[in-house]
Amino acid sequence: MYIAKVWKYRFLYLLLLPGLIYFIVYKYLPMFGLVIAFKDYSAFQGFTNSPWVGLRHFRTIFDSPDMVRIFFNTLYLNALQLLFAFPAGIVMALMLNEVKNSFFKKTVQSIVYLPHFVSWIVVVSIALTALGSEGILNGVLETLGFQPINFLTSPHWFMPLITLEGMWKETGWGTIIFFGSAVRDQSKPVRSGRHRWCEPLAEHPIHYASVSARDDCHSAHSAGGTCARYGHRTNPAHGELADQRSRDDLGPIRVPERDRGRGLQLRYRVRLVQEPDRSGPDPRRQSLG
Amino acid sequence: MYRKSLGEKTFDGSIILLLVLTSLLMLFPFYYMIVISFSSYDDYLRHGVVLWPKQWVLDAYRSIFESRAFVRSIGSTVFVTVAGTLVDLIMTSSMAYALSRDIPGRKFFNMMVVFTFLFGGGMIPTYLIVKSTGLIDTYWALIIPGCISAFNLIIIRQFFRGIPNELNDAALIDGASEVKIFVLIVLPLSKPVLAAFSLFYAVGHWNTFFDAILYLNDSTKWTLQVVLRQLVILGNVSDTLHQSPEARMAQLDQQTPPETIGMAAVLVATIPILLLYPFLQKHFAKGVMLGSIKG
Repeated sequence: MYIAKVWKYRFLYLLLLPGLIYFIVYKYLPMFGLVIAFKDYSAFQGFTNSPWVGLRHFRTIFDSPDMVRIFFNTLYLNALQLLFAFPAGIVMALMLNEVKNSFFKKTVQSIVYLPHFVSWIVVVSIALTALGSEGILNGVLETLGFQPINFLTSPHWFMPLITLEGMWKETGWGTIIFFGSAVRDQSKPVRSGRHRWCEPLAEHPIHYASVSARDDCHSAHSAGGTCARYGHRTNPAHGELADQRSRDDLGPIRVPERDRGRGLQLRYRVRLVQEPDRSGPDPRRQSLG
Repeated sequence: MYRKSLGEKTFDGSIILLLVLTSLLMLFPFYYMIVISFSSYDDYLRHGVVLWPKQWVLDAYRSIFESRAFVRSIGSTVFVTVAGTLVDLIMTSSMAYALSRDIPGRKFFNMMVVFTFLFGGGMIPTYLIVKSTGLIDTYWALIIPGCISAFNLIIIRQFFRGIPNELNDAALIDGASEVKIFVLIVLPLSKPVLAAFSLFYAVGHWNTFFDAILYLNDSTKWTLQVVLRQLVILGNVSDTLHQSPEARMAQLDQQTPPETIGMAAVLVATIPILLLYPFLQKHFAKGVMLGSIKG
């Protein structure tokens, strides 16, 4: 019975209640409050009793001579962000993905994530001080013999500055999304192209794999941090402790005679042959050398 | 032996170089802030300060700690951060737990939460609601209207769902109520996740600026970020749009604060974040990834 089930969980509803009230009052009521866009709102009459005025306010806004300028300013700012800030995160994630030295990689990541956690006030404060007429940038420009630039009062600099400040603050944090996705995909077997994030990364053909060099056949773990699953060894690299954090079953890899029994974690360069095709012969059966 | 070709070496090298440069670019503003804050104002004006202060002085720090407005704002921000984080955690985790269990109507309530990802009432209607619930000019205006982040709620709910049901069943057989199970079993098991999100919430409260500008008219109640803006940005750029009531604040300190004081204040405001950062860093990847595993 539905009612009996509800009664059984009554304490859970009690736990739900405060959150529910919060969502209704502070999230949903304001949505209904948007009707004041069509009303002549007065604080005394409130949302419901203020008289309707139809599209009057909209007409006022769109008739305003500023509207076109405001509209294009917004578009311009968005375009700047789409062109520069958005790709910056992807490029940085790809660069970090190329780094094999995990200490270096972690250090860089710690540094580039940091600005995300300071407030905009702090970002702007530092920018104002550094770019002001006595700031370091104009100091450098003057030393080099250029005219100082008045970054803070020139209207041309406003949008580039905002974009650059945003990039400084959020580019590093933006990379974390790509890494999160890469790690997620490693934890699951890859099925041909179903994971969105596999596609761009799988085009990158070289991956590193660590192999425990005791025996002939071993499973290997991809250390490159992407979706390599089956591959063949092209060349053994120098013996180096592999990055064990990210693992992905690569299937058996034949360990060359001279490396056997060394009990070392060796690192190999592995070329991604193809995405696994379930219908065809199992690529793991194919010669890997 | 495999050797890298020249092209590959150049490629790897230039990536490393680019990353080092980017890291320096990310760190330099922090460094610059520290250097300026310990410099004397005269040196700053004469471009004397580039990479190292000519002489280390504490004047800037002395003046910010003499400013009553600044010290008071630290106090109120600490209060908002501590109280706000507590309220956030209690509200978020209890709602997340209820939604993680198989209660009738769960799908509807979930939809209700997810809907707010995309749609909101915007600033003015929200302000009017906050006003009509009587929170204007109280610190609760910075705590209650944002106490549940829908995104965090979904992630925590997902974590709760991963706790095996057998634990629940065992506790039920032992006669525990649902509330007891939540408090005595689920919450202790979720300590790492709760720690992570309390850090996120705490940073959010510490950096709270816009809500404070909107909801606090009384300048004696201002939080740190608002006072920082007062000290640095409004002192720096002549800004006729934001004259009152902020202008009153400027008169409190009687002078246009020089940049060195601004940087000292910014540094003091950033230190707690820098101290928390190692802990944050340990957790945030986990938090983000938890979210990406299951929507």
